[in-house]
Amino acid sequence: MAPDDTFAEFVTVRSPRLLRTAYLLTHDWAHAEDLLQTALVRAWSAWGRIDANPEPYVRRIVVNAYASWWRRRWRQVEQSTPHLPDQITTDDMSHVDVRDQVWQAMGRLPPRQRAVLVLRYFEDMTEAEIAETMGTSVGTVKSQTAKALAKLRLDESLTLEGSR
Amino acid sequence: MINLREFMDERSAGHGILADARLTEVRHKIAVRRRRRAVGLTGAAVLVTALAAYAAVPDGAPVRPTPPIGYPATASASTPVSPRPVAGRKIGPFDEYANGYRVVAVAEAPVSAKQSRLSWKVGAPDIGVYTYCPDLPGKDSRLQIEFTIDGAPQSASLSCWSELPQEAPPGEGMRWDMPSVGATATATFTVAGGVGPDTRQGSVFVAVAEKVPFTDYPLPSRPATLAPPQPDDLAGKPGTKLVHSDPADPNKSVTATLVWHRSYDFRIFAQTPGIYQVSINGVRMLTGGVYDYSGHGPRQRCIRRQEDHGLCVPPGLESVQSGTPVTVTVTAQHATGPWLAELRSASPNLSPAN
Repeated sequence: MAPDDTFAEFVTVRSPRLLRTAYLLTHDWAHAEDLLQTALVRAWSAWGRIDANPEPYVRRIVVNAYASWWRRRWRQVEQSTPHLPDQITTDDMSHVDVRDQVWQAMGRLPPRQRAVLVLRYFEDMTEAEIAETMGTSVGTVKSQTAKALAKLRLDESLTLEGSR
Repeated sequence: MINLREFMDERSAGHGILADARLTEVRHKIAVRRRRRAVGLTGAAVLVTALAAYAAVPDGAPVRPTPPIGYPATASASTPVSPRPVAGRKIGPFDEYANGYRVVAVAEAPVSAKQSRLSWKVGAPDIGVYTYCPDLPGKDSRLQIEFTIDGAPQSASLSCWSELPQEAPPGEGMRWDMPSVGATATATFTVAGGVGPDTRQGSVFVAVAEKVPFTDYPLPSRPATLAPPQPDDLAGKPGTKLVHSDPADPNKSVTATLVWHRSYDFRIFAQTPGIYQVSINGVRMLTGGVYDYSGHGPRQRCIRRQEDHGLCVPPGLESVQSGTPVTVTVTAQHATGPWLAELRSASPNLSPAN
């Protein structure tokens, strides 16, 4: 199959999943779409040299692009604040609010911490795979994960099923 | 109890354009990229084009903004934009001049209208778009706004917050699907959604700003004294080179040698307004304007793993292997005082560059 065909097939079949990853990173569908398309354009330039499954390669571009220039580019709309929800309650009446609070708190995490959580819990990657993707050490992945969860104050309100 | 895995799965489900449409858009961008490379479209050529375009519309007078659909023009929307710099002037809620851009058209609409529209006479191809939603209930609330220019959907969307930052307009440096200079363009803004409680009330302000040639930009008064430029934490990292302007001539180019690792972090701290650039072996890596005396400046970084071949490498540097010494040139135009550049080429997995 020609590179153009395999690229088209990849975009058609795999990009919806990658868009979800991008959305979890950016918290904005349009930004996610822009980030994903940017990653795909970059990936195309190396498409002929990718021998194995290209998805990890493209995902790596998405994550690293987000963590580096994406935040700078969109700094005006990615303003973070040091304030976290004072308390996350878990009663049924506030179920929706709690989920919104968690979502907003995720949006306030530093890019790399947010990326670690997305790769670990949404992409279901191992710490070693996350380290490979983000170009960092397993120890850093562990510490970033711990810091992210601490900031979210999820320790008592979440069930982290499947966490390694 | 919230399961984080299920939570992310739920939040990211059921949205986005069709994959076929995405493929079309990606192919279009690839084609555009190829054409740019083919014609050798450099940043300098773009700048020349922008300058020429601006000169073709000497007064830059914008078309009066049209009122939002179904709503009368508000005071801010009907205020004509000054063709001449007026210190401190605001156009609606926006500073007329901010960070190299001038607001040329503003519109206001109630959130409930869902849509607003403004028109302007295109004076420059480089535009930015501001949004401001002052009535949102909190700092974390925002509206998502999509927009078109002359009916063409733009690849970027905007988030509208209750704060009004104009440090740099969204879209700075992006390529817009724009009509040619001299034509009248119409931008239509549509509220696509909201994040946070009670985002259905209040007003939405939108504005289009055009890049102003540096020599036409109204700069603030120069302070009586200029402090030396202050480096940040990057200066203390192994491998970072500090380059200072020539005390006798801040517009004189200064060069340094770095070992290239296909990743970089360049930061400029300028004490005076000017256009600042960083090039590697003649290939432009960073260009940015400074329009005040705050001591800040443009910066650009791209950090990748060593195995990610080429992701941080612009056209013209593909053949430069990691570990090869390169010549970094820092150039200033219109500078009238000292500046400092922090230059680093290294990635997290690599030993320090120099």
